[in-house]
Amino acid sequence: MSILSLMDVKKFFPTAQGVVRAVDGVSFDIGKGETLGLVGESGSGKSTVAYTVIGSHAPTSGSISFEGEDIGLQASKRPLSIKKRLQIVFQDPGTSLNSARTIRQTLEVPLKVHGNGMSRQQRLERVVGLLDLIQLPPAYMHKTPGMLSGGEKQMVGIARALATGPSFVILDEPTSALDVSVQAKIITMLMDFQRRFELSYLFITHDLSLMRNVASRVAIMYLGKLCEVAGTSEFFRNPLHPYTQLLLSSIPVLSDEEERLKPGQVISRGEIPSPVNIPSGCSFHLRCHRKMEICEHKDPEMVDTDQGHRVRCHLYP
Amino acid sequence: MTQPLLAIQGLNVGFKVFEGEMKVLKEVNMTVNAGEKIGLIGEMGCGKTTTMKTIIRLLAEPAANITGGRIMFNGTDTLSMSRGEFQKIRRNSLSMIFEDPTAALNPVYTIGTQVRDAVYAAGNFKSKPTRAEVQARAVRALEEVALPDPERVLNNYPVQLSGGMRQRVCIAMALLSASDLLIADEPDTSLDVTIKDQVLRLLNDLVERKGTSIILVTHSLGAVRKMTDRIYVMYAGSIMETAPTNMFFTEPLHPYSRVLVASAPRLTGRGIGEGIAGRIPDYINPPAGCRFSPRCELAVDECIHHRPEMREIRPDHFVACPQVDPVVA
Amino acid sequence: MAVTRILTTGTAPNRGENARRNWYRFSRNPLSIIGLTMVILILILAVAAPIIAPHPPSAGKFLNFSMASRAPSAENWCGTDVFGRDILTRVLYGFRFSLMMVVVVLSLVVPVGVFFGLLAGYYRSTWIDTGIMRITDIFVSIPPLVLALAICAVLTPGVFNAMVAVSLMWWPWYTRMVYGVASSLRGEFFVQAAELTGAGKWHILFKEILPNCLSSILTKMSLDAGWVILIGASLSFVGLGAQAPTPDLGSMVAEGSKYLPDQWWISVFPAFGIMLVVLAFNLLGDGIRDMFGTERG
Ligand SMILES: Nc1ncnc2c1ncn2[C@@H]1O[C@H](COP(=O)(O)OP(=O)(O)O)[C@@H](O)[C@H]1O
Ligand SMILES: Nc1ncnc2c1ncn2[C@@H]1O[C@H](COP(=O)(O)OP(=O)(O)O)[C@@H](O)[C@H]1O
Ligand SMILES: [Mg+2]
Ligand SMILES: [Mg+2]
Repeated sequence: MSILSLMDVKKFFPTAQGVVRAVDGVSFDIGKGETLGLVGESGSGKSTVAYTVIGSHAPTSGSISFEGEDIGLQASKRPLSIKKRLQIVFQDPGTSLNSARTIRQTLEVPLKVHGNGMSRQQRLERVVGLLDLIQLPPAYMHKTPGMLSGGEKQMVGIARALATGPSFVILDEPTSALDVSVQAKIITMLMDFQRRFELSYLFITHDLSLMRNVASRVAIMYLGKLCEVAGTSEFFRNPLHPYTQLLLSSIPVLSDEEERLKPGQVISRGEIPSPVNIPSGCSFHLRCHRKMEICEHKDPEMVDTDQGHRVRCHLYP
Repeated sequence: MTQPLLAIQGLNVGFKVFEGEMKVLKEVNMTVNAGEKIGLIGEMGCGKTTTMKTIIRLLAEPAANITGGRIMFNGTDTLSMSRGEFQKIRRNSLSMIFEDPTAALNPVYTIGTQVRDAVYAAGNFKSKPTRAEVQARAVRALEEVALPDPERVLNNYPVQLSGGMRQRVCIAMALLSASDLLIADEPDTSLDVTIKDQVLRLLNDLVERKGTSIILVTHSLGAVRKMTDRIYVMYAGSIMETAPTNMFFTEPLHPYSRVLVASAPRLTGRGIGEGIAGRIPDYINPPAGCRFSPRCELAVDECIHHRPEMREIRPDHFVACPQVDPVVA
Repeated sequence: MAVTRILTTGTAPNRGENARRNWYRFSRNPLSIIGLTMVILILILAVAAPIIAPHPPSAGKFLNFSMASRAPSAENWCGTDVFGRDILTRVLYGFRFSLMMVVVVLSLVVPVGVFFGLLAGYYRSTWIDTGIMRITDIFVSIPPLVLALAICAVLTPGVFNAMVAVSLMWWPWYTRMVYGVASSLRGEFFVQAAELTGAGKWHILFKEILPNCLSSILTKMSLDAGWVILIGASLSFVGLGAQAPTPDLGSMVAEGSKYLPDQWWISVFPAFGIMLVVLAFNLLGDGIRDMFGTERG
């Protein structure tokens, strides 16, 4: 049974330049204990998906259901019980913590809201427990974010998300601002937490090699739409969409073994267009190395090729 | 042996702050030969930008303090030169590309004004150039970095361009001066994968064609592997290991390099390393011995008390760690 | 148990450290130190005026025509006015009065201004924002002194009304400043995190956003102190503020100006007093701004 499911979710922002179609009909399911890796270049609408699911804003249309409940509402209208089970870790560790408050004060907020009258002492013990979880010494609770390194800040952000005991966590590029060595440490922790607390993740990133190692399924997003969704090993063994092939071919790898896993060289052309002015037909056709006549005027439908490998491209009717 | 283009010898750089003196760079040695492509990697805050800024004399005065060492450029020590003398070298031989292409361009002037200024500054005109000549060179410069429709781009303001296009403009301007050495400080960090790939490919083609030496500072180990001949690994202001790039990726030797490389996620999907616990040491009171010793799993007493010597473990492969055994390696 | 030990031994271990760092930043500019010293001195003089003033009765309704209009001398360092009152005494009491004005005005203005600023900033682009900010626009569009003059003219002239007038025209500036900070912080991830986990509005306004506005508020308060004094003095100067015989620096200058240039001391010393206070608070404000500055070091 899926824990989160999105059905044709759209989110448009009216702006002075025109309507930004940030998310334009996205559907996916995430099963219990699963990690869905949502991958795309910046501006493709990944964060907007995250913020819509978490309830920062309501979707323009479409439905979102979480553990069987319809949650297509803004956060201010959602019941507390959903906020407790659905949490988010933000991309920028710098601004995700309040620099004027100590780590203890930050970690106590979710405990005060969801703690059902925990005593001061119980809260303190829980804060120490949370710090222990992210392998920071208890004395850290008195520090302010300014004294922490980027990695430590992000770990506190993770601890805050886990404080309420959620079942689903959205990770919006949790390590993209960090060094690989710190990233490795945080990823190891996140994988460990997933097993221990039976968490499901929506893991947003632009790093496909990272997804190879952490996701159970991968979804590729381009200009507000999904291009391809597949189980991780199938996805990397048999990437179908030309955009996926472009992404994979652009990855700078560390060994010849990996070089052989990439599809043949696809030269990257052009850049992601503005979402106010989405190209007609398939939105990727301007950059596509396998463009056909039909791509210029007809937007392809998502099709199921086999066993849950879905792709949206005219090459696969 | 021929003289190297750039030789940094025993460079020490500190910053004066409230808490005291941050001893950031410690005995940095680095050599760049003509036409060589060097990669410099290391965690955030380990002193890569400081090293590059020292080379090109852009350190934030008066906090920065060069406490020792020499920077030999074509055999002369630039640190003992006057500003004026150094300016000449910088104009004719050195250029730098920064991480943030937005900050490197002035938002109130058009790209054209800035590129044309760079054309003038680069000089090497036989007589005073006409406007048309300058414009033609500016267009050519943008064509070189594969910007579509250069005439239009010249009339745009920086905000009207995407990050990737801005970075190309910066590269074009950097390459205008007949540069011997190009310093690229994380030119790819703020860009997307596909754009990163485009920009690095372009940079590689250009320096190869012109025979320019390049120091590429980056977070991306993959980019270094693809583009450079030789790699330097820096940790907390000291060079830990240097080797020809191929040799390094076949087998990194320093314990720090090993964890760093093991931490990078791979397409093979065999999981990623555990990373490194702890954080970069405090530069006010850095460890007396090896700066990596507090986080190193192999550290012994000697590491804590004595600064390790650079040793040539394999031909041309140098490592600053007493625990790396030449026989095993 | 272990947790209790942390609580007892480890509370805020960084207070002293932070204070010293702040002092380092503040004191890097010698002018800030001068400003701080001046403010402290003026404070001491004002508080201790009844003890140190050479002739305390001069502060009130005192007449001694035999001593009238004496030039500065060993006995009366700053001379005496037309009623024979010691000017130095009156200036010292004047400091008292000015500082009291600052305290009263700022303690009326800051809470109100900050509260509305937080509210409008947090509810940006709603009717709350529009309502509050349009009202501040009205106040801000009228030159401050003109507004204060108008209010004082309507009400009966007097110290209290002068303070009310100054306060009325001052709060919108705090609202605007805090509005700026709050409306930009509103979108920050830490505010979103608190909202999304279900923290209440008041928690977000006062615990998450307000602490981040404190440095700008403090800086503005110290810079404003000088201006409050100046405006108060200006009101008194034109006769709409403190009334005789209150020892107010502004009205002293006003009265004294009638006897310029012959009996210059009657107006020059009080004017000098105003200048000192205003200067002191401005230097202090600059120092506080440096202290909270983002610049590293
Ligand atoms: N509140 C908003 N108003 C207008 N446009 C927005 C807003 N939020 C996001 N966008 C636009 O939607 C597009 C997708 O943004 P985002 O979801 O942040 O992408 P990603 O996270 O993949 O980088 C971008 O072009 C962005 O400018
Ligand atoms: N102007 C400065 N004043 C004080 N400290 C500085 C200054 N510039 C850099 N540093 C410090 O020097 C160290 C190295 O910084 P940097 O060279 O930018 O590292 P990298 O480029 O490897 O990330 C950091 O700890 C940084 O805080
Ligand atoms: Mg994003
Ligand atoms: Mg740097």
